[in-house]
Amino acid sequence: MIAEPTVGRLASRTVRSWTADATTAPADAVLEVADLVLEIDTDRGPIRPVCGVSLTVPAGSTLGLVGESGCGKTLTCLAAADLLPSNVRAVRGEIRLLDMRRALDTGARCADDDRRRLAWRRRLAMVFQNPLAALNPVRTVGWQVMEAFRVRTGASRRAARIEALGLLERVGIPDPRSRMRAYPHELSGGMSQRVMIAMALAGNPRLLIADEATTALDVTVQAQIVDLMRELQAELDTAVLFVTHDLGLVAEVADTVAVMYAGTVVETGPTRVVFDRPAHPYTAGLLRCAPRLDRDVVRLDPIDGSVPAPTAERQGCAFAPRCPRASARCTTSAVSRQARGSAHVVACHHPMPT
Amino acid sequence: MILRVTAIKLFRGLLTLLLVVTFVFVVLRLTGDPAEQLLPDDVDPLVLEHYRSVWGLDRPMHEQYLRYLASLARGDLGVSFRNALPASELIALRIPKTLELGITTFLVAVGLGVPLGIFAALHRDAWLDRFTMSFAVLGFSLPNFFLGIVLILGFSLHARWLPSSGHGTWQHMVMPVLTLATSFAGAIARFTRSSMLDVLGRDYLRTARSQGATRRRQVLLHALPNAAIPIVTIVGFSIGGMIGGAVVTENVFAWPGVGRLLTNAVADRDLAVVQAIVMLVAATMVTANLLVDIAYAWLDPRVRVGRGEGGR
Repeated sequence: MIAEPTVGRLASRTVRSWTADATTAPADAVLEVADLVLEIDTDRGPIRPVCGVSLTVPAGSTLGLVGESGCGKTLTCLAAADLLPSNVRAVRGEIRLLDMRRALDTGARCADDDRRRLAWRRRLAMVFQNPLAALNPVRTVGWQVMEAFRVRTGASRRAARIEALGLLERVGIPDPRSRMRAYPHELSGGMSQRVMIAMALAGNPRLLIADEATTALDVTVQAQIVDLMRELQAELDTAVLFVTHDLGLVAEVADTVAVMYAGTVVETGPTRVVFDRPAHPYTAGLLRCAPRLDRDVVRLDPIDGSVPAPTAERQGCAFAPRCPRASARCTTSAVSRQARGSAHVVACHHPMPT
Repeated sequence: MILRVTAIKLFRGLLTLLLVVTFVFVVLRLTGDPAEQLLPDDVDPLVLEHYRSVWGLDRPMHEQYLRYLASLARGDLGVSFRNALPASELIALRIPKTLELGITTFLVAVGLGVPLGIFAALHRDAWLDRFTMSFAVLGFSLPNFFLGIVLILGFSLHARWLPSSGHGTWQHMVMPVLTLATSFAGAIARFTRSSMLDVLGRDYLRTARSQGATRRRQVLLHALPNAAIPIVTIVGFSIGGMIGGAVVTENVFAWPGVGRLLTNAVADRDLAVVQAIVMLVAATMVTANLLVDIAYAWLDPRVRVGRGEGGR
């Protein structure tokens, strides 16, 4: 875990990114997403699975993005990585990645030319949920790691081979020399995720996006992969956007956390602060329904109701229909974000009492 | 392990050949007496009798069959009733011409069909895709004889650019190759498109995209090796259709190949020649299937036999 002062330093950054006119990027933010709105056309009109997401991943630290499935976590990541499927349209928003910047408010999916687009993608790396499907079945492990390195750096085959061996060793693959010749179907899930991580690290990207990277794995393997990622993050000083629905994992790996609900970020702050003193009723509800071993709870306490369909142009708070603290104001007037202590920000009319 | 599997496949291939030979042998003899067909109607019955005994047609069928198999085992394909030349010699003369047509067609069809299919897949649902695919379906659906005749009408009779029949110069090749390759290329293009679309939607292509691979690299290095697996299958299976098409095409353009020899031999009830050609065709198909199997193992590590867990 990164020391407290770092979290303190992030504080102002996080708050600033909330403001709509964040025109100057903080020097040490690796990724900054501002007011991202994504739209998908369906038979029953357009829906907005992401409506106004803003988040910041500071250099060298881990941001945990949590939320239920369908809340827009993955789409936010794909937008950041410039990998949106063709049926998803960006309505507005701006994404900064290191020295590059993309405005998405033109309505076009990507106005950038190809060279810029490739340069963008080469600055970050993604690790996906299903490692076996994410690896090319007809290419050897070695080829794929080498390819990732060569695409990002333009290195020669020989240099890539040496690098690939080093990477495979670094992610804890035993006997990397012979594993280079193995095909994905010959690997276990944990091994293939290690290979994916090796591929992601090839070329030293400054940002690693891990989208439910451990969800498909067995619990024991999951713990190993999480440990590996933490180790590597500390060693390489890469910023990580760690996406998961698992609160326990977030508590373990993230320095800061952003909680998403129905396409918006409802609360963000240093992990310990958010977990200890959640300000948004949704966060509080999520924490209540997570099973804990250190307390004698007879029954888990689920949140009533279900996530609203992202169809209508929303007025007020998306969580209002399920919120125990909701008032009439919550369904009519848009929620503004309010700071609550350093770096802790909540979007709620009636935050939990401190 | 690999050897054993190959041996089994070879054995199965030989068995298929034997079945084909037997079937053709029986059917040809059930559908009429070749002696009566070949000799004039008013021939002396004694001549007929003599003819039958010379060619062994008076023996019981099982004996004829066994004799035939025995001679096959010696590599003797029989002798043409028509001009007393060994069938193998007649066919051997024609094979180069058919190969010339077949290989050119194959190259043209694959060279046209695969890029068109990839192109259509990359422009999915755009008018370019629809346009290409409409042509592919049209090409695929046009019968060979019809396309051949239309081409002759257009390029030989009307425009007088190309010779309508015969063999010798490259001009003679154009229309037969076009006729045969059109349907083949159409089938390959359609298959390539759907196979490519399937692969382009896979997670591992998203991985390649996420690394910042160029479009070209994504298609050629990441997608194509996967898409090639079903394409090879359809190409292999199309060889059967191509042989059938070649028979028709060779007749339309009076191409002096095996296909034309076959039609003549069937018309004449020249048993030995028909049997030999059918066997040749069957052998070609069996070989094509074997090659598809080998290509499969080469392209897809998941079906590679004899490769243990852990990639040793």
